[in-house]
Amino acid sequence: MEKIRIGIYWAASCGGCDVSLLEIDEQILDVAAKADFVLWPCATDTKYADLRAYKDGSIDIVLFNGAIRTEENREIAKLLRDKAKHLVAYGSCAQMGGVIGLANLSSRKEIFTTLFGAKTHWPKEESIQDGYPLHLPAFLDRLLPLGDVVEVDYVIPGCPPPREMVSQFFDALLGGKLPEKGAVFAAEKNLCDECPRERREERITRIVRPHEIESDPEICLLDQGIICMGPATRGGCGAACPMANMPCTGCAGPTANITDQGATMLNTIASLIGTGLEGEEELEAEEAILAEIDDVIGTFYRFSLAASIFKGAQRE
Amino acid sequence: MAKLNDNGFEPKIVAFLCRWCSYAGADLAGVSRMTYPANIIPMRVNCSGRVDAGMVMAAFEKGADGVLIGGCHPGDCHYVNGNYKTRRRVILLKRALAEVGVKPQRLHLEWISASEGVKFQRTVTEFTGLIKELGPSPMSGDGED
Amino acid sequence: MSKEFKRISIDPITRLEGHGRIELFLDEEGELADAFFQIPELRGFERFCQGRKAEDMPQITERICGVCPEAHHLASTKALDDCFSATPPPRARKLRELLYNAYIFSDHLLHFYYLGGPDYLVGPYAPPQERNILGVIGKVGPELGKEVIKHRSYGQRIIEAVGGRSIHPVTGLPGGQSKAINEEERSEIEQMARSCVEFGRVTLSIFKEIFLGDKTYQQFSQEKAQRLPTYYMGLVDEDGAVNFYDGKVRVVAPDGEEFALAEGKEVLDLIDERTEPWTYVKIPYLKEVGWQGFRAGKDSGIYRVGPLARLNVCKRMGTPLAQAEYEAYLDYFGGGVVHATFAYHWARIIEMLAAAEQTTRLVADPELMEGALRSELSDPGEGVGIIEAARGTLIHHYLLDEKGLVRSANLIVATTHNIAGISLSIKEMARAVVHNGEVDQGILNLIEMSFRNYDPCLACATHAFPGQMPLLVVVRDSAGREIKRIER
Ligand code: SF4
Ligand code: SF4
Ligand code: SF4
Ligand code: FES
Repeated sequence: MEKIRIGIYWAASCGGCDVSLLEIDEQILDVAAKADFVLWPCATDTKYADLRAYKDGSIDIVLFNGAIRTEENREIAKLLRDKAKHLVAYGSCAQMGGVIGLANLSSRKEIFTTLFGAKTHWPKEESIQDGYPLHLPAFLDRLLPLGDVVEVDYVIPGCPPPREMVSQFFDALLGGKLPEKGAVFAAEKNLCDECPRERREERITRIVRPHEIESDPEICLLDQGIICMGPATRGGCGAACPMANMPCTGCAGPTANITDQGATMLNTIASLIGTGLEGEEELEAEEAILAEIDDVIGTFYRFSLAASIFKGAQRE
Repeated sequence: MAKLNDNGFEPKIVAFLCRWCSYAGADLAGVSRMTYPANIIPMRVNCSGRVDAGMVMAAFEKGADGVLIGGCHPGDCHYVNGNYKTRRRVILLKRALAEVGVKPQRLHLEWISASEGVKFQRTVTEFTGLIKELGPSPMSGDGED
Repeated sequence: MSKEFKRISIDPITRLEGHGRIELFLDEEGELADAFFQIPELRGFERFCQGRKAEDMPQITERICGVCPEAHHLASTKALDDCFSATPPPRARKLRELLYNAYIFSDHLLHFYYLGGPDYLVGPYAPPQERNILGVIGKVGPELGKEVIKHRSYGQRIIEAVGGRSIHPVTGLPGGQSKAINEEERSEIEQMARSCVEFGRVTLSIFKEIFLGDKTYQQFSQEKAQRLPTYYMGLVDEDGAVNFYDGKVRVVAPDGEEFALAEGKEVLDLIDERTEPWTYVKIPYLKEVGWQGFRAGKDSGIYRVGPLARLNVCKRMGTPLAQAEYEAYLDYFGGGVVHATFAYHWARIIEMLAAAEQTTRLVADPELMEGALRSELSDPGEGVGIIEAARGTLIHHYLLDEKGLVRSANLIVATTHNIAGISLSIKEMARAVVHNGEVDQGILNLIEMSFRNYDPCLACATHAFPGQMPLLVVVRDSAGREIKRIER
């Protein structure tokens, strides 16, 4: 039987997605028995020149992690789309921009000024150093999810995707049983559905931050006033964060039926807040509770800002 | 009444109006031949509580320069507390808008009952004036907040 | 003005973390004229950390690097301890150290078998398609291959048990940890840790047999051109032993003399950095010595970090098996300060063994299982957290506002310190192996091997302190409450 040709690529990525492929432990040997890794910069020695020489459509499947941050990322994404029969957005950066999508709250200018200071110190796309010309790929004005640049066939969500999902994906791939295009390798229902904490759906009377209290490990974090993204987030990770006494921050992205994860969470929180007081008193009390929520965007859109309706800050 | 700043800019304003109160208030204003700016694109909803955050964001994304939500007065909501829920959403939404660089004043919530045609007229006129002054929304394309 | 030249690009460089590119320029004779090590990526963490909630930082900054998220997670958590003037209770500290040593073990193993090691385990001139972990397994056999996979997994499972997730853990909070481990987990960890010590020894014997037996390795670990007499930086404990989690930052000069011993904010004062228009990374150097261009020596401010540096700044290893290996290592290189860049590999697996030994110690510590997990926090202020990441000294420095939101964040990351050293090593190697304009994949791989010594993480490297950190003085009363805050 002919071997499956797999490509793995990272764009603006932390490398955690690459490492997550190793988390399937010995299964990687089964994969290697049936597949060739024809591109995997983290682990093998294929160069761009080799990649360019591959025929179009000659890579069976490309797992693409990381977001589109530079011109080079965009270029390689397009190149890989041409070379690949199937393209997978692997991990939250590729799927929806990820944590680094929060950079979209600032302009390129603001980012460069914070990092490099005065404009004279900024890196340049073209420069001549001691007589030798050097090129740097342009830093785009805005970070983009992979799907904004090329068509994506499958999504494996998570930051990084949890072991079980990666394993299921490879089972499907090696067994020749890939689902229909558009499929997302995660649970259909939200995280709360698989979270063992007792959800009382109590009205939230105060907002607290994880470091401010020692929470009860048996009871839903939202019930205790800690903002947990569970209601707006896809399951599949086994509620890893709530199990570790920390709120879900939403890395697996929105559930199947919602488009804007942050908006859904915002609705949920607004619905849950309440004091039982009446009239003006109630309004004031609610306002006080809401004022305790800091960094609305960073909280509700930790991973999804670049793919949200807002996409980022609305100014240059 | 607020003085209109006539800078020639005609804003697009989406108004989500509860059918039980504000939409009826708008009707009354219409029937009574009260004039108000034509910038309003009214959307009838069953309760202001149905206006979720995503709908407001989508309105801005599709080019609204301002979004007005009209609901029943506290205590009068047909669904008991839909209007309270909306009020909390609006507070959070304004924070979110401010954080992405959209002036929170572009979103406005007002209690308008079925009998308050005058209040409807005044609200719309003032809000339109305010948005005219703010100029185009940065989300609609060319504005800058 | 452009010159006459021939250009050779290695793009992308591979078997490392992150994006990098090497540009070689040859003169008319086909000899190396110049070499540039470029980092074409940037994500801008220092900017978008601003405005975030303090307690979110350990989980945001770990997304700098998914190979060493534990290092960022804990450097960040330690910086928050400092921001909130909190000392984590002993139990929390032991949990963190346990996670941390498991991480060092696992990360070093990853480099030895998956990233840098294949150059020797399969061979420097082996076909490119074989120079990887699968080639290694093909070479050493499936039995040992499975042991490699199993022990990497052990490290990761320990991290997961303590940190909640294996990649991007979540349990670090200012003043403590969000969760403990139960007895079942503890005893499992104990089993795994013991096995890891054994595997560390196996790895050292493989190193001695294959690396030390390899002609290329022998040549380059001894050759003068591949020795860079630079300064070195690393954390040591009170006994002068290597400590990954905590201690003082010690800097030694190329001749071994102590240059600095610093902690907290003082460390920031040691360093300055420069920007170059052709790379997205900033290049740090020792401020007092100054920047003299890309060259080594006592009068040049270039310093290095990571396993080689740690073994140069320490007086001993903190555990017995590692100590014995450390002595053998010093013997091989003739004692004193080891400048051979190729010694990084050996130093790394001595540390891998040391980390495994530490893990067995920590998991047997009764303090791990009892007592509080969190301590009282004061009002938020400024804080610095310093830790030894697998690749070297990692510094997080935050300034928080009254609400505990980040006003500014300053990140000096392990590989960043090494950028000047890596650039130099690449240039020296290219000079040694490129002649008459001829290169083949073997020669190009030798050049890549010179940076793989450092196990660089280029996703990490594009961070450096913005240099505009507002100055903050917080005056506290005896209970640690803030009474005054002066900023400029
Ligand atoms: S999704 Fe998470 S793990 Fe994957 S590259 Fe992005 S930050 Fe790293
Ligand atoms: S909100 Fe969070 S803690 Fe509560 S049930 Fe959902 S996932 Fe669990
Ligand atoms: S609990 Fe939430 S943030 Fe944590 S791993 Fe699962 S989806 Fe991601
Ligand atoms: S019915 Fe009018 S606001 Fe609820």
